[in-house]
Amino acid sequence: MEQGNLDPQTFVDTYGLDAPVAFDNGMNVSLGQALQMEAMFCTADAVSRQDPAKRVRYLAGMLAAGGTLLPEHEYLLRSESE
Amino acid sequence: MERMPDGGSLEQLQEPDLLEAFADREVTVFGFTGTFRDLADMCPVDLSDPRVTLDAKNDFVVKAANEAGLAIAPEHEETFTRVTEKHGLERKFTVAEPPGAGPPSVIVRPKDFVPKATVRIEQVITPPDSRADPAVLVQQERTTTEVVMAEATSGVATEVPESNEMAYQETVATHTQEQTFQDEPVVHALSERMLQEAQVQRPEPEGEAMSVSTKDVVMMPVEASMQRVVEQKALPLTQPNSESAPVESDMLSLPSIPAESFSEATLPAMDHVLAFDAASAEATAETVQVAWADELTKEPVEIYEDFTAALQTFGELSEMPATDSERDLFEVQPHDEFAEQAPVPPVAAEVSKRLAALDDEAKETIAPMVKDIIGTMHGLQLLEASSAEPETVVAIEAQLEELCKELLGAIGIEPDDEAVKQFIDVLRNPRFRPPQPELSQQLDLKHIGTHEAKGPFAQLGGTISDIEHQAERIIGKLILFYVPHSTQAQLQLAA
Repeated sequence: MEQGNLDPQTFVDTYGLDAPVAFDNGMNVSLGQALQMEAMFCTADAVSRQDPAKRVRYLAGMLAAGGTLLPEHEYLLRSESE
Repeated sequence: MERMPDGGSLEQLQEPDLLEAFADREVTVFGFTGTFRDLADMCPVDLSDPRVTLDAKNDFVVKAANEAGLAIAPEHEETFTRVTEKHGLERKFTVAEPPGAGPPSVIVRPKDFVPKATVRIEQVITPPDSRADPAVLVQQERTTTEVVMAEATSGVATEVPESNEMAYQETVATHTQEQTFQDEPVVHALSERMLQEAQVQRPEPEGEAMSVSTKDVVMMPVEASMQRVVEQKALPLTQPNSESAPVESDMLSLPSIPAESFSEATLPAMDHVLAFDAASAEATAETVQVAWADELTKEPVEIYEDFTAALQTFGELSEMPATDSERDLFEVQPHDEFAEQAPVPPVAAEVSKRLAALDDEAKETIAPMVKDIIGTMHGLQLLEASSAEPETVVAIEAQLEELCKELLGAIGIEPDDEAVKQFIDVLRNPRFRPPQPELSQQLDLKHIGTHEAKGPFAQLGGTISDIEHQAERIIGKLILFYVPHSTQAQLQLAA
């Protein structure tokens, strides 16, 4: 699957708002809370919002850290690291 | 130091870097807690990137702080106002005014002030000893007050932060050393128990004497009482006006004192007590504290009964004009509570009525809640009397609010904000006191020693007066019937 075809909303719907996510600083929250928090950064994350693919990778990263990223989405992490 | 954006205007250059200022402050937002630094790390973009403008970072801080309803320093108000208006956000943040700026947000209470009105959670209570030092207020405001308020506002965190707990323990320790009634066994035992239980995170078994201390109410009652409510969602309440109202014998009332005569029996004593209190407002506060401390040694059901009686008495007292001693007493206070003689809040009468109408099963369920409330209230009185850290006081006020909501909900009263506020106003009113012990109990106290009698002794003005009066009569009789020997001899000679 091409990562560009995956829009953030579909991606979120796949996991649900209760899916656990984690951040590098050790914060463990739900995906819903992370999205609410993300809205606080509406100016700061302008780049991310303008680039849906990048945003999906960002979401995938936190889901992976929370241990809930599906195997079929692991390519998103590889893409990010490449 | 963050790099300022290139080409920024002078105004922008003068903007404070809120992320730097708030970096280490904890905030609870959307149900999770972290420092602003932690929250900033959740941003998809590295906020330390110099390409990120100061405005962008400040916008984030303001949004998060506003969402959490934090109290901010006055110097940040302009920025906060501008950002919230820019984004069309509801203003949820509050401003802690500098010391000496007046009453609105920062209330500086005298040590002995027992307020009638509840201090709103948004307010910062400053102990007298920090009033002279603005740095103390600013530091306090920056460190923990917002955290407590955020947690209380969000309704998520129910545990007092560790820093608050430590402050509370220090306060309790200070209190036990400084208060004049430090040797009074009941309070001393209570304080010791508070310190012991500071390390215990679990509720005590039901039915244990003194199962609720002020420490308990900091850490436990919300969870414990909530559990009780969940377990017993529908209390078998009996509406006072319904046909199924219990017969009088089933209803809770003051033991051995009919309701009609209760006022007659207690009001003169109350006035006498207030006359004593007029000598010192501190004595009044202490009297109320000790009276409630004494209550905490009782079984929950007894406390429940006294609480119900106190509510009833409060209603009766509040319908009477204030005594001169009360006016004298409170003239020195910043708020002349008795001058206005506000009518009894309807919620007080309603709660009193509903509590009195509970059946035995419901009574046993409600009694621990009432005990929790009394414990919280007493803890608050102790903290206020001992110049506690403001964040601790705010935390316990929030706790008291939660407990009152819980109680009102449990007895079928809609626990809206206004009702809860009115009810807390009643609890915090100096006129809301446990009922006076019966005369026989008071006389018993006279024989149990200085320490034991010291607490309740101040309340027993009426009894002391009776005792003194009896003694005077006895002395009078002795003088009357005493005839000096010389006079006896003269009388014999005359005969």
